[in-house]
Amino acid sequence: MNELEQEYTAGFTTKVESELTGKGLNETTVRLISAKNNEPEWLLEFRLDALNKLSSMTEPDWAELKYTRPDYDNIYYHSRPKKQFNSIDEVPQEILDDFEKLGIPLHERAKLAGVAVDAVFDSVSIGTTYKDKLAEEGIIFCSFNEAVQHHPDLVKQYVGSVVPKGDNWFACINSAVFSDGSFVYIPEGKRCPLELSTYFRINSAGSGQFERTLIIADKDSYVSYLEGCTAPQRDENQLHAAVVELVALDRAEIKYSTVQNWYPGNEHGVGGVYNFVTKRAQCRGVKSRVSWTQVETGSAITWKYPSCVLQGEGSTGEFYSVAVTKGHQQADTGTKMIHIGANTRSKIISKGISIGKSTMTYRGLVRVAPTAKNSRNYTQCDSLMIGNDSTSNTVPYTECRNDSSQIEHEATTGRVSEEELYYLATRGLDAEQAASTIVNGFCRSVLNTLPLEFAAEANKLLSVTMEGSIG
Amino acid sequence: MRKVYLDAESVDFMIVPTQDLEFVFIQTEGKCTANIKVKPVADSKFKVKIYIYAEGTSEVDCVCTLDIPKEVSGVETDIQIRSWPFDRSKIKARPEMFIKNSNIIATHGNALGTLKSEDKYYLASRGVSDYKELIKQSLLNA
Amino acid sequence: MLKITNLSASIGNKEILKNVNIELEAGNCLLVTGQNGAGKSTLLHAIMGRPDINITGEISLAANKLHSMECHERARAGVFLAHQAPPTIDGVNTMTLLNEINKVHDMPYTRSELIAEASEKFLNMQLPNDWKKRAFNSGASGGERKKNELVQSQLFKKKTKLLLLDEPDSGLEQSSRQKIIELIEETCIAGGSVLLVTHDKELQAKYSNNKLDLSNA
Repeated sequence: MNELEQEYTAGFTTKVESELTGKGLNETTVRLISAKNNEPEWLLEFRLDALNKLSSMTEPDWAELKYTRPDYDNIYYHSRPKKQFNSIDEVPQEILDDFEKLGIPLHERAKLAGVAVDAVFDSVSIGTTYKDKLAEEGIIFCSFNEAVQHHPDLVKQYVGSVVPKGDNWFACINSAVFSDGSFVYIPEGKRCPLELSTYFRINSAGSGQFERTLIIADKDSYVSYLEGCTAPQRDENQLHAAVVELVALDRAEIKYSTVQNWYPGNEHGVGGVYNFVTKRAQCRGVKSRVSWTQVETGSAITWKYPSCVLQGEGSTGEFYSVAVTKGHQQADTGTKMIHIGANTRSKIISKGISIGKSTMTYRGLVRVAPTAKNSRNYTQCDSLMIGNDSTSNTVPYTECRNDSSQIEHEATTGRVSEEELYYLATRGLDAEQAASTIVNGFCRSVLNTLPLEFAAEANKLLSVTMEGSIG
Repeated sequence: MRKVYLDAESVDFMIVPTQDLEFVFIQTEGKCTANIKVKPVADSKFKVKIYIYAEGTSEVDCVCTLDIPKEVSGVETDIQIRSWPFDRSKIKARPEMFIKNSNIIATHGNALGTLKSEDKYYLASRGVSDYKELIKQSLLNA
Repeated sequence: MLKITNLSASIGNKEILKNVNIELEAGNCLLVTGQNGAGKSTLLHAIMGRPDINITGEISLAANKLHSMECHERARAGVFLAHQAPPTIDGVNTMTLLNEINKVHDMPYTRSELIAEASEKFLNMQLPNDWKKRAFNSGASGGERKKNELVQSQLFKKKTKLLLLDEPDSGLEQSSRQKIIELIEETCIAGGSVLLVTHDKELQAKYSNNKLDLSNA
């Protein structure tokens, strides 16, 4: 008992008329979406091919998740505010206020903070600030749809090359009906001077969000990208099946950070977002590097495994994660590090906290191919169980086919120790403060890897999430 | 308790541990699939060590599952898997934990790798060039 | 007799030793000195045959042309290196390793003799009771690792023609210094040679009459 749902602060709805189109997962819907986005033929073909592949696939059921299958035919696959916007100045104040409530710096403040923000409001990117400034450097940061119009060759070259259409059920759906997302291209030798940020929001009832993000870092470049998400309270579950593809060429580095706070459902486990995401990075270049950092506290169901395919010799993949589940949330999450090139390195630090009746599962894969000579992996995977009703699962797969590599994995599962709580009590902390102190310490090594802009938000989110959990 | 499996094909083991356990798999050829299920009772304290050695083109696929249901409280356990994939062999190791009771301390470790170059140099400086034999003998004799 | 002619050694692109020449008669100890980075350890490892060290020049030990032999062959020819930082090798049992070394040297001990000798020496060095059963250097402190090296040196001294001591005393107490001196004496008396790298003032003073200073390279 006594496991209160902290009132979900982002649970408000904006009364903006949205146009809902494309009901049902079928060819009509796909053609509709493609036409509305004014897409070239090759992209329509891409979508139709995915739809075709979908018919021979089945939804996975191997995760430790129990949920009602979404009714794919009753979802509207496209939603956008009825008016079209050419620039940020045209966006209705209501929508901009919305983002302000969520603390997204879309205006001048953003400039001071050095953040260029691309906000996606139910499938359509609402203006992209500072893209002109970035354009001076040759850096492209725009919505996916814009990229299709203005940089089709780049998109065509890379889309679907990291996450093939038929990779998995949810990626396949995404490949057929993806709406919009972000596109980033950093040219050779450039270090992106701003943290690039995108804020997602799912608003309309019955709509899923299928954004598609593609980030390409050319040789010797660097970019740090922040993704934050939130969604209003709804009774029916909302589907979020995104695909994020990252490509890092020689000596390039991509840092991708996520703070996710989708609506988790109410205290009876009703409503909430289903978050089924495929995120994958290809470290194609020699000495390339990708790091995924995430703080996940929301969603009713989470299914995501940000991964790195380490192809380039000497490339590095990193994964840092703090995930919290409470109430009736369920998460099956982790990472995959696939070592193909020689001298590749990967590091995984995963911290999971399960509260209430929730289920937290860490599922990781480290695979070392015969060609990955002298590769190394280090994994640390810790779980903290609070209360006595939660479930904590750890499922680490390791596969080694090379005799000169080293894989090391350590994991602990336990609960907040009585001794620690007692000690802190003798120093004047009440049960909640003590638990909060301990939880922060538990997550410290991951939180330290977040970019500053996110660190503050993540810390706040964590303490808000933890409030009322100790009882 | 210690069990050694030489070129086994399939091993299925379910145990309610009352003492520390040690499993050794030595595979010189063929494929071995091992499933070890550990179902502890309340307040039990034990360690499980699994050693896997594979050479040539052999394969070992080992899953060790720790199952702690809601009613089982007070368990303290450590599970360690250490694997040596020599030559062109393939080792899959999966130490899993499914835990529904929070009054536990459960740790596990999983390490795969043959010898680091400094280890090989050390052994060579002692005149030893057959590392595989050395590790095999060590695992058999301990 | 150890004869080293125009030995140059590099690791990667970095040249560490240049044109080192040594002639050491059997039964003698050579003290190798030089400041940090001068290449003292590298010299010992180059003689031992560490794979990442590239050399030009010649190294001969009696009739053996070491420079064209592999590392483990050099060990079998009687070169013994007491490592400065011995590693932990999990999966390799301490006693099993001693058995293997015994085998490559054509069994100077029977199995039971070896166990008895090893146990006595481990006890003598005050190493933990279960030392023999442990994986090699598992859970060992720096000092314990050095003691482990010393025990091996003592066990196989009869097969040692060239004893390479890389800071054998560091991390050890005073009593070990005496053991090191005994080891050097016994090796020399039996006709072997010794190269000694040490920062210990007393050991330096004792063996300073035959010295090679690498600083002037």
